[in-house]
Amino acid sequence: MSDDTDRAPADEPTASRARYAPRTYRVPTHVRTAPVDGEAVLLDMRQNLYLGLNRTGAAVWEVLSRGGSEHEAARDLVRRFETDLDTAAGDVRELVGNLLERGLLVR
Amino acid sequence: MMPTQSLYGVPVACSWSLPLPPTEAPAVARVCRGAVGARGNVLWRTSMPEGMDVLEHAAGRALVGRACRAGIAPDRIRLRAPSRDVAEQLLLGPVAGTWLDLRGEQVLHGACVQREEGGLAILGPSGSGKSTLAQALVDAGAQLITDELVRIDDDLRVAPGPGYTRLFNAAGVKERRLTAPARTPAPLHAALILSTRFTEVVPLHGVRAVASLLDNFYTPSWHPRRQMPLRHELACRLAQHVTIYGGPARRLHPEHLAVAFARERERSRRR
Repeated sequence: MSDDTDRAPADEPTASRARYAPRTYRVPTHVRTAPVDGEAVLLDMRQNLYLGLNRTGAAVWEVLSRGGSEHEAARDLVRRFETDLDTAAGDVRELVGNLLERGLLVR
Repeated sequence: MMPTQSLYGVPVACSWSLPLPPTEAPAVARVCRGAVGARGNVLWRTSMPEGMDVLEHAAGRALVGRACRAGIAPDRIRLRAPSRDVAEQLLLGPVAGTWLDLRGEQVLHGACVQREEGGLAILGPSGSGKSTLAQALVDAGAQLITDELVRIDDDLRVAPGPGYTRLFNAAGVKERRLTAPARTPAPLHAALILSTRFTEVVPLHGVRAVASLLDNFYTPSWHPRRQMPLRHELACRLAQHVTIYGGPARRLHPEHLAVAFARERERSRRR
């Protein structure tokens, strides 16, 4: 992935630009995912747990699980749902933090 | 030579005749009566025909109750019970469920009837009214496919089980209501999940549908690691390809379903 895709466009607010890190993640081998009706169900085989992601969570997961960055995921949310980039970036960051904490995504 | 019968779609050779469809396919397991040991680690406890411990050991599993026992290996089932009737009840319920689970098959807890639209699986915990609703649908003209265990194959068809439902009589004892056994699997069209969580029949989608299905696998209290990805895959496939409904436990009649399903069909048509 080029750095360009992770860089905030010049016309975006400075606060948002500062938060965009060109950081990507991968899905560990003990996690399986299946999309269902626009949502997603994750299976954590290490902890024997099933977890559900709503539509926005599933959209973020889709981008991150194929190697996309947080910024790409936020832009995707703006494109698909009625939200602004700052809100989307905050939501992505919160979800990523949660997924990292649970070991469902790794850096 | 022992006749071969189809136990939830899997051919078994059994020395006595069971209320199951015959099959020409070669048997993959033999069912017989005899002594059974009681060793292994406890996996879970069944609710029928009495509270029985399911044990796991290197060669397979054992079900151990006060009066009954069953030894279960992938290619052999051995039963010890005080009567043939109890042995049959044991075999067609918890033993078959445990045996199918041991073979890596996906089994849900519920009943299934074939209606004009296709198979309708009725899932839910014990006492939620699955068999009662299935019997009411059979009385209204549907074909019973199975009661107690719902085995779903790769093509999302439900394998035929024994030709009866088991309903509580006035004395609180489960009694068989015999019906003509189905011969062929039923392509699944819809699944209705009975639970006290629901106050009316509602369509379930996405994560909610998958979560409700995952609660109704035959051994929900015990998640064998190798089964989890298979259950995950099947529940997601069902949620994608089959209409899933939630409905109130112990309160539904065929007329309620007809109204709810018609409403949902109309909604889908408008979408």
